[in-house]
Amino acid sequence: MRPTTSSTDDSACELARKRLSLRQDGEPRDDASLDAHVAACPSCAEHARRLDELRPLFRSLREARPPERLLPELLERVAVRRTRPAPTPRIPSAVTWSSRAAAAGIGFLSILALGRLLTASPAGEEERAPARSLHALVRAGGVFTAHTDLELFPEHEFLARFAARSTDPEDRR
Amino acid sequence: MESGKHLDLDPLVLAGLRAGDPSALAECYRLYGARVYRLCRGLLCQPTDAEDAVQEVFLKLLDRAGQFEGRARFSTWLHRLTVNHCLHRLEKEHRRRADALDRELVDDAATPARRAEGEESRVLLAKLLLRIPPAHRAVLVLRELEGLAYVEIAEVLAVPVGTVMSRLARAREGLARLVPPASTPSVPATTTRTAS
Repeated sequence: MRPTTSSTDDSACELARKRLSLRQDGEPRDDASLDAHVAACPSCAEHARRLDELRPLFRSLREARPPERLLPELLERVAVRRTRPAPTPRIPSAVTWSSRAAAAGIGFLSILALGRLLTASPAGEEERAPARSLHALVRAGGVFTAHTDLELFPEHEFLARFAARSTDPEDRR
Repeated sequence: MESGKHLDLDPLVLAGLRAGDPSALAECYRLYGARVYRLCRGLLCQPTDAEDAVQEVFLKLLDRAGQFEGRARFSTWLHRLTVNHCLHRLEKEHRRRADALDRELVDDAATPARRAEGEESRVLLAKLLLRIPPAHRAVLVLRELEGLAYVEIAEVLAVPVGTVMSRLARAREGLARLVPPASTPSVPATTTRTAS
């Protein structure tokens, strides 16, 4: 343990440790100033000793060999992969895009028609009718049937068709 | 197509790999299996994890041999594939505590199959390596186990040479701090988490 260290000592030690690391890789072997620092600095001397202690540990790992069974196991995994069925061919992109476009169009028209029903202007009795009719429609439980109709018929025609189907006498008026 | 000067693999073996030929894979394994295994052990520390990773790397090799363009040497490309695979695996498992891995390493070393000569030293090194960041570990392992030059390590990891040198110094400093005094037989217990 070094009793006191100045920032100059710290940076000298930091530099020395970088150079000790380089020395582990074989360069620079002859560095008199590094040797002088290590000789004078117990902390760096201890660092150098510990670096040397690591060497045999790395050597032991360099000598490690994979177990014999690893290659047969690998080839077995390859064989298993090869026997798997080929993935299902993808649908041609043109078909995918046209069906997506059609679905998006239907969705858009549905939202548009429902929006018109819900935001009907309160100007006259005739224009208030859609909201009232929608309420009745929900009560009658005929939402899904009427929903399809919304896409095909103008609003007033849809309401007339619904009134004919509804069981609510108020809607038949 | 790959240029001949960089190709350190028989072109026929490479062609076989590209065609998905298992015998080409076996040949490649005979040439590079030990290197890949050492790298995986150095990076993952746990022998069973390393064995699994070796197989995964060679399966990846079979899938990706077509992507090898010959701009680097084949061995450099395979090193990169291995290091990236191991680092990705470590990233996924970063919640595993170093302490838990310590216990696994002790258990693993105690099995008869692992009582081979030098295994004790490998386990000790693995315990030390576990406690330095994987990025530092990668540089150290490529240098110490594979003996790659700084330039080659830089190529494998796609970092500047200066970064390789500074990471090496920091990795060694980190490891040296963990080395016990000469009279102490084992690594001191720490609560440091694996820096993933």
